[in-house]
Amino acid sequence: MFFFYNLSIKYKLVIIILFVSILASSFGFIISSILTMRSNRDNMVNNMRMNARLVSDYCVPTLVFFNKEGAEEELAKLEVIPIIRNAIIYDDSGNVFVEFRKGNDLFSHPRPLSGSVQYFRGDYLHVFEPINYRGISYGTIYLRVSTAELSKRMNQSIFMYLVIFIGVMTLSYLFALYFQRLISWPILQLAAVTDQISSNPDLSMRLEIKGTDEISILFNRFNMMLTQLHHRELERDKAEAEIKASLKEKEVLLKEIHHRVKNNLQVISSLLNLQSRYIEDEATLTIFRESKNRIRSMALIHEKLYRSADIASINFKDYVKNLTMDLRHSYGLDGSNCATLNLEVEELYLSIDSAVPCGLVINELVSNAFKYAFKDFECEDKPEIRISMEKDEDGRIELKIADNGKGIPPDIDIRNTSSLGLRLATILVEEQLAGTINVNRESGTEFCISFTPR
Amino acid sequence: MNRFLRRVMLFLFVFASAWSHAQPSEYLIKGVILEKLTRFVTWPESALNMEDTTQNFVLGVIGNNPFENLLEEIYRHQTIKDKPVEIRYLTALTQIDKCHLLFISNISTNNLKKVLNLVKDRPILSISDNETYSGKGVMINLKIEKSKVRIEIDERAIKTSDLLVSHLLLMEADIVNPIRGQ
Repeated sequence: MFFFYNLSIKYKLVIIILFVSILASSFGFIISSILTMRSNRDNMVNNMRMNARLVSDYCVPTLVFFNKEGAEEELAKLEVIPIIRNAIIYDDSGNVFVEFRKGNDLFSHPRPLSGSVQYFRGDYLHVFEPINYRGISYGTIYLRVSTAELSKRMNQSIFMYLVIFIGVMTLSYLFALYFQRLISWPILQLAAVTDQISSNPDLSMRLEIKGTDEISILFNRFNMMLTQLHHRELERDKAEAEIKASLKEKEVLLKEIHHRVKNNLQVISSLLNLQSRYIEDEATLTIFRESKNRIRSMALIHEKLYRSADIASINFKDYVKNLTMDLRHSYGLDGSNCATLNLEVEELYLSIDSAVPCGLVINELVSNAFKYAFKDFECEDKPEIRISMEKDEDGRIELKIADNGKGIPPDIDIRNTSSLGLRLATILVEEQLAGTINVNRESGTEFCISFTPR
Repeated sequence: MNRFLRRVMLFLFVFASAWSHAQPSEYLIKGVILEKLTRFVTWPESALNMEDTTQNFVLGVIGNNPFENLLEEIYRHQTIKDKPVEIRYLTALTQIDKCHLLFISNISTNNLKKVLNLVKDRPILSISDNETYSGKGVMINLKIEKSKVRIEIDERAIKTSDLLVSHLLLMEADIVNPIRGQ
């Protein structure tokens, strides 16, 4: 049965039609055979009864007048019927009056039966018919009839039925093969369209409806379903376009916000710059300059954000380059004026959450390097500031800011120092970036920062 | 002893007698045959009413009586057409019309014509055993051939009478004056 389920609908229909045909033909074949057999037997019985009666009628006077020769002559007429092998006329006492025997069949006389009796036994039909005339019984006639011819005719009939059966089966198969298309073709068409839609979602396709049968109703429902799906798809596309437009609008808005934030920070920076012109105290002026640089580093991030295609993150390599250029411009004094900036920053994109504290950290540490590392250095001393930034396999960012200056004195603890820049950098790394910061004081200063960007 | 055995024994007796003695046995056979012949003959209802249980079957003998008292012996208990048999020995032609079966023994040719004229239009089965009467209008003639009684039927005489004779009897008998032969 499992095999049947896996067959194509075409072969299922052919098998079903053939099965029904075989069932019907077999039934017809069996019934016809039985009826033919019965009919042949009945015909044979009736014919033999008729023959017996005819002969018995003519034997009446021979029995009446005890004319055995006449009776033998009457029985001899049965010679023309080849299937009658033996015939006996019994008188009304049950004694054999005359006998007719064909060939050399071994045959014992049966006891005469009263009344009209016929039965098949072995290869013979046995017929007993009473010899009556005008209500008077004169005896019994018995015929022993060979059924070989009947069997032969039956075998011929069965052979003919078998030939017809095979012919009907062949025709049924051909008809089934041809007419199964009426049912299978629409279903195969439906399957093909479904397959086409699943591989290439063109919901504008429709099935051609022919007629009003169940398959046509199915096609109609399928078309209606496609129409509904198509309608929903159009609505979804429309909603998606609206969402995209809305998103674009929000993006523009966000860029505008970043722009304004950057402008505001720049205004603050400019105000601090203007204010610092009236400050004569060097220490205060330094505080103003540092504050201005911090604000500038943050403004730069907002500027990068609204200029970037993706407003969620900025290209940190470009940022670091711009930031360090600004810081060089701001702190380019003494030997640091000719300090070389070596940037080895990968193409990294950081979100605003990581970019702002990371930018401030770079601002503080590079500012410190410009301010203190190369004090009393000449250009011949080849001052150098190196910034490297890379992402390891675990996604952590390794940031190194190093200089070949005179280095931080060994007694200064970066977490507990009077330098606001170092403390700020440490706090930003450990608290804002949830990272680690280490300082290497051999041949200058090297800060090793590690954090996982958000 | 059943009826058939009695009949067979009677036949054997008759044949044996016919072979060894002569007249009495021959007429015993002929007497018995008369009844057998009637089995194949149908009388009109007006002549022989089968519903009438009181009616006798009249067997007339005209001419010399060759049976002596054999007919009485044979038909004392034997019926014809389920009717008791009344045997009449006729002495006048006027008695003929009451008979159903008339056995014509040796009578003159002139008388035979008279008798046959009377019988012709009546439902009377005429039987004789005289070979010279053959073809002269007697319906059935009994003749002896090879020590056996043979039946001879005048088909034209039968056809012109009111009697119906079974084709089975015609097949068993020799036919004289055949209708088809005309």
